Amino acid sequence: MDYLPNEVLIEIFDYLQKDSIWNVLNVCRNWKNVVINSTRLLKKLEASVRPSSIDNVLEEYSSIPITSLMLNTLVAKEEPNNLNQFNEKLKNLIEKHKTTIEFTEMIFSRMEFLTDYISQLSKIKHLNLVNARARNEPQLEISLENLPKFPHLKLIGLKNATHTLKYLQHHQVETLKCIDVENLSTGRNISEFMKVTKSLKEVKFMGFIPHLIEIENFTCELTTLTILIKGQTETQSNSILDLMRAQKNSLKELRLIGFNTSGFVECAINELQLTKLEIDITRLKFPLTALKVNKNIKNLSLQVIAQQNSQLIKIIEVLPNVENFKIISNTNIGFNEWIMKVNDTMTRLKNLSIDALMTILPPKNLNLKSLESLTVSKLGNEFHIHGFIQLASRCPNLKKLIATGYGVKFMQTMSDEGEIVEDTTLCRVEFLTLLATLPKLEELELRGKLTLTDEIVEILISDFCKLKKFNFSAEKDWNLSQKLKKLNQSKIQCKILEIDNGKRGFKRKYSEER
Amino acid sequence: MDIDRPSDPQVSVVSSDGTMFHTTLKSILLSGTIKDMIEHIGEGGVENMGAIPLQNVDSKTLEIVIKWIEHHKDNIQPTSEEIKDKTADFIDPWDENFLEMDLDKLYNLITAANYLNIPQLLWLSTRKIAMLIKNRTPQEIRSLFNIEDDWTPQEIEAVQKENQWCEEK
Repeated sequence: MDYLPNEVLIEIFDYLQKDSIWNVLNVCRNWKNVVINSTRLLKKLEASVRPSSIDNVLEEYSSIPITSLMLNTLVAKEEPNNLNQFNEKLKNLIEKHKTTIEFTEMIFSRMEFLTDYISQLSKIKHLNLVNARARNEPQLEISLENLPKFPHLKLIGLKNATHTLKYLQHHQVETLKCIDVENLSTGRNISEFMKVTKSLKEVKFMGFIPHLIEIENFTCELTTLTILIKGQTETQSNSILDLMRAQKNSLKELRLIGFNTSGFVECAINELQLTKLEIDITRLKFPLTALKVNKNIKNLSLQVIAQQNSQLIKIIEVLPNVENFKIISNTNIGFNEWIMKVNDTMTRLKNLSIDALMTILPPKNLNLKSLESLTVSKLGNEFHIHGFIQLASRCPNLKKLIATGYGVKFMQTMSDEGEIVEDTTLCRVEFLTLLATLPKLEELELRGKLTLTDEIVEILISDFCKLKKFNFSAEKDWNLSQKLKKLNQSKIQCKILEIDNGKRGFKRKYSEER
Repeated sequence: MDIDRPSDPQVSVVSSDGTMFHTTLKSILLSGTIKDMIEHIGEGGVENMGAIPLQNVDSKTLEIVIKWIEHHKDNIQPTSEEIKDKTADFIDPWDENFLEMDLDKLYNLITAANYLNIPQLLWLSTRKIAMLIKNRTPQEIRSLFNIEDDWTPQEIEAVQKENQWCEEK
């Protein structure tokens, strides 16, 4: 084994997980050196620290550099004495590793820890503050001012962020994401922050709307604003309206989900020149006149419910320049009327995504010539699938097709990332033979249970003439690799999105932030 | 160079211990190292080219490598980036069977695949070693790979202490 070059050893060790790499470290001197000198392998030995484990971490990493350190959320009623001890030990740990330590993402649960080793930090790109609180103000002030510059800041659940933002004002933050940071004084601090942080481009408020003040004095020029909430008060509406008005020259992308009144949205959008709009109109009447001003919107995403069919048609009518259109609904919104409107007005439409329960029966004269990519989700039964194929057959220039099996009914008002995909027998021979008639199809993605039978492989190879990529959710199958090989030989690149191992079903995708 | 032409010319390679092997151009082009070399010679040169000397590969190993490249000559080879992805954990049963060999041969194969730059073969063979390391204690790894224990008694004690803690967990 000694005569294998070190770079080959690194390749070998790279297959291993944390536990196995610990064993590798103890095999011999050379192996240990290989691990210690490879940043790639060291990253796998991420240290996770909490008061109960600090001694172990100190010992474990006594001769191994730490490249990534994570501080776990601490028990709230930690004894102050213990905390001091912990702090002391943590300081030791950091001092010991200061030559090699590099933090790319730090999660702080309590500010007083931040204060102690802040000067040791070398590189931070993302700073996440989770339930952070500060007790010792002067110390905090010093430490935060010494913090290296970083562009992305995420605040989660800060109950008392009075000082945090104040000291982060000079850090050229570009993205600010606040999740559940509701508190009056926080609103003032966020205002203060936006007033002086010129570099700020993107702001996201999730679960709350801050009470912003002196909006007219903000120096930042926002291009993107995202607000995800569950209903709002009138004061909050006004606050957001003022913000959008003040930022009307730069604001191009707007995402508003979960609002229950629309008057202010109308007022605001009226004055903006948007290119991207994502809005949930399930609980409000949509501001039509306002949209007429925003004819340049290229990316449109709408969440609607069944009763809003006529409104939906009116919206489509006033936005002829849309290139990417996504429609989301948890109810059956009907199909024929709005799709004909899309057909007649949105002549530049390239990508269409339908994430709704619907029985599609395309009208005879439907012909979506400009469409290059079609995504259809929540296909549950025979009728859905049949309709979907009918729809695809009306898009002669389609290059990319993505179909997803029936999704669990999941309220998407809060987060569109929180998608749960369940298995549905989606892919059968008849289905594929029909899709094969699309003359320009290059990429096909089928999410939902798929047994890759020999027959299906044969169809993919011989019936689809231009197919280059095939992505699918697979069922566990011992001959899968053989079949994939066969497809590869016919120049079809395959990617398995997830594997059903028969026990736990598909891996589920959950939202990143919630 | 047009790899798809119907005639697949013969190419000869010579191992470090002087044995000559005959294979086809299509197979040998799976080696990045040789592909680079042949691209320098140009299309016309292939027919007139003499045997390619491979100083770092012995005849036993070269035989194994040739068996592999001839089996895989018609497959699309993944690029190094795709291999880096390492998500597709499906091993062709033929490959699985092919890699059933003793450790010495496997080391030589890895060294050869590394030298000849055959990413897929390197991936398969290194993965095989990694699977052997996985779930084994340091002592088991040492005896499996015949590695000398070069720690000082103090260091061993420290390691034992560490392990003790692991067991307590």
